[in-house]
Amino acid sequence: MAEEVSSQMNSLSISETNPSSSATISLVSGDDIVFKVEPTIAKEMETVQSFIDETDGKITTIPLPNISSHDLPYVIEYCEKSIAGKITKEFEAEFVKKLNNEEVKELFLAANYLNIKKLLDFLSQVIADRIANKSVEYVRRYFGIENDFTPEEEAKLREELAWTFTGVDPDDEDEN
Amino acid sequence: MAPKRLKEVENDMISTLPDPILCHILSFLPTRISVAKMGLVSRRWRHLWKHLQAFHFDDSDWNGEFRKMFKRFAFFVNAVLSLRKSRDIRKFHLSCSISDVYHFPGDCVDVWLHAAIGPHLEELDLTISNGLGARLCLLPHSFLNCTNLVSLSLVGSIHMKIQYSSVHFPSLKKLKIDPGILELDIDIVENEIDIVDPLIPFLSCCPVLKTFDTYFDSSFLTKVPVPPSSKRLKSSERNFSWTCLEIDSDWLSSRDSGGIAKTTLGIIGNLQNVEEAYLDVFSLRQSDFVDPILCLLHHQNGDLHLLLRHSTSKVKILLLLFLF
Repeated sequence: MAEEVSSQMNSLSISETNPSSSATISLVSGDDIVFKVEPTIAKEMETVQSFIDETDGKITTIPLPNISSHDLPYVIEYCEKSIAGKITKEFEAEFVKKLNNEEVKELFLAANYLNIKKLLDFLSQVIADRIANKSVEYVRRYFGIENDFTPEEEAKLREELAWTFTGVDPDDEDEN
Repeated sequence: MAPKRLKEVENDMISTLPDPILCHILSFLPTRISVAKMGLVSRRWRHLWKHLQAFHFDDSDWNGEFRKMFKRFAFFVNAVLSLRKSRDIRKFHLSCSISDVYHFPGDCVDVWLHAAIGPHLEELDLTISNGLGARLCLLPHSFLNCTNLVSLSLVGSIHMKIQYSSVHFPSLKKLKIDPGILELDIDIVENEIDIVDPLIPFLSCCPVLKTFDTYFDSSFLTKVPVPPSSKRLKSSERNFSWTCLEIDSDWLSSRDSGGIAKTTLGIIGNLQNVEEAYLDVFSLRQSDFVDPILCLLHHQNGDLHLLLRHSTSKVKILLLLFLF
């Protein structure tokens, strides 16, 4: 209980002395494009928020070398909707419709790097839906995984698990 | 050539993510696919599913003769639950029908529920149908210890006894429940307590509930006496308040044998913050394709008044009213 209170006080004192609560934050993509966002958005991105907290809010320009200027607007859009409490099934369906497989994976990596739980969950579901009814070969290609089973091993494993395979969709090649 | 190279680099990146992140993706797949298909991808992926903390078991993934099917399904669930390495279950979705009791006992479902229940459980989603003499699936009393539950969905042949004092779901935001699943564990004669729908004390113990989804059938309207104002409940220490949906219709009352002029659906306590409520009324009779309410308004002399008391609200309620 005492711990809880003291941690609450900590976060309180940070937010009081934090100049970023009034100023905007600059997110710099891997290809050096600057995106100015409201400080509230940073709260959705745990990685960014902890960066700000660690520097007592003195630094408001945050380099994100792992995220491209192509992906960052999507991330920001999702976080803005999330803050506004406007993430609906319709929004998510529209959001994902714009994205090809590569972009979904890139955004997944970005969400993981920035530690945005909601976006990570959402994209996990998208990836899961896109591979669920595909063949093992398709899944390997999707994730860029090399098959390190010997043909004998794989045949044996398949035999063991044969009864669980039902209704595999034909592979489709994603256009990139 | 350049874009292709880039693609390969990206691909490498996702497959070099740490196991817990890959497992996170698996946790959104049906468990059968995580085990049987993803396990074939590579040596590293072979055993990833053993660290799953979210399970989705659905017997419709299994084909074949019905009796054998449940046996295979049960074998699979038992195998997965006993071979997993992570002991904590965060999400548990189970959808199955138990009907071959004479050849394979459905009791295993109870054991699975025991495995799922614990302080880490955030999501429980059960859809269970049974027939041919199979008994109801019992939610054990220890279920009430799942105080981190955020989402609960109970549909079908499930039963649970609850006591006023024992229910406490401080984090529950989403509840979908069939009527008749909950039973209040009280001695009515001894305590002389009004018979109320057990959902009411249950709901009063879910302080942050946002979405509630249930339905009432026409038998509920007449057979369950609803306390008209329930001031007694309101004054209890649980900060409980009563919200009423009144359906006032000559038509309803004449069709149901009770002959009560006004039917009040007393429902859902703790809803001081309701913003939106839906009332879906539809008929299960095959000949009635027309919205029965519309039909009623066109052809009836009687009035139909719908009234939802409580004007300020954040909770969304979905009410399905079946008219037989």
